[in-house]
Amino acid sequence: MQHDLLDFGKWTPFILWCYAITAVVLITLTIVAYRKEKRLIREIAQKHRRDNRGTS
Amino acid sequence: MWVWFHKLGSPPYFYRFSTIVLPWLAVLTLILFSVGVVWGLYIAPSDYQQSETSRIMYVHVPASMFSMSIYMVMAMASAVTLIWRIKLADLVASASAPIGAAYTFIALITGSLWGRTMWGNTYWEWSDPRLMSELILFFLYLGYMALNSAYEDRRRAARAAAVLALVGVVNIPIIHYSVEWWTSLHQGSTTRGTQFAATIDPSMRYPLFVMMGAFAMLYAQLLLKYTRCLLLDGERNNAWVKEMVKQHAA
Repeated sequence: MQHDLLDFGKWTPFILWCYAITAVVLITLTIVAYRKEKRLIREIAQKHRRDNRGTS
Repeated sequence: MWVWFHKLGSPPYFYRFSTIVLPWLAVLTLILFSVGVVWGLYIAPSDYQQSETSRIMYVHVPASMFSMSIYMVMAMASAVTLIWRIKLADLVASASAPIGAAYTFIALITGSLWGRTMWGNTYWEWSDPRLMSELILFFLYLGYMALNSAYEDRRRAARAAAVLALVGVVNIPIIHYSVEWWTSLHQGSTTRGTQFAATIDPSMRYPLFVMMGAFAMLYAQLLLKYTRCLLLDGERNNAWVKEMVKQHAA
């Protein structure tokens, strides 16, 4: 059925809430994963730099 | 195939392999979600009984399906951890838990909202077997994560969490068959074997397949990403990690 953008009659809030909550949860999970790895790599690199300075 | 699988158990090989695969998975996930959401919200027809609310199916069904599948992956990885003590299996189980918990959360929330539109004036029914068994699954994921981080000793934590994951497997058939074994507000299963083609019209089945693919690809992508984080954290003093970080910085 063709309908206006984001208009699903009386069920609009229920449908949009479902998609919005799903999007927020999945995007958050993805961002957390990518940032966590970036942070870990940065931490490890900093530690190695410190260690190298200590031994040289 | 087995040789490759064996090789994948080696942390440096796994890291190199995931570095190649991850960008492809990310692109595929984005494409599948874009196509699936547009198809499900605008192109697919509304159901003759449930009207527009049937569009909730495109997020609820994949999330529910994978909430159980991810638990099975976690349980199998836990069994491998206990039997063969492969470190990467423990990391895969640990990485699966937050993703599974998030998928279960989505299944519960979208199911509750969908239920409100179909069952009348209620978001939740405490005596419903499908709802309660799915809620127990959510608590099993939380319990697994809590137990996994409760011990200082990584090996003890892995063993305790693996036992919990294996005990919790009993809940999976209960979730699946709850709508057949007991009286439930939840509708019967439509996504089983050959019945699937007969009970869902292709105009609704294909967008559902696309969304299932999107949820599967996202799980694969996040599983690799979270496993890499656990791997880096646990092996930060190993030579291959130092070498990899050096390459990354260059």
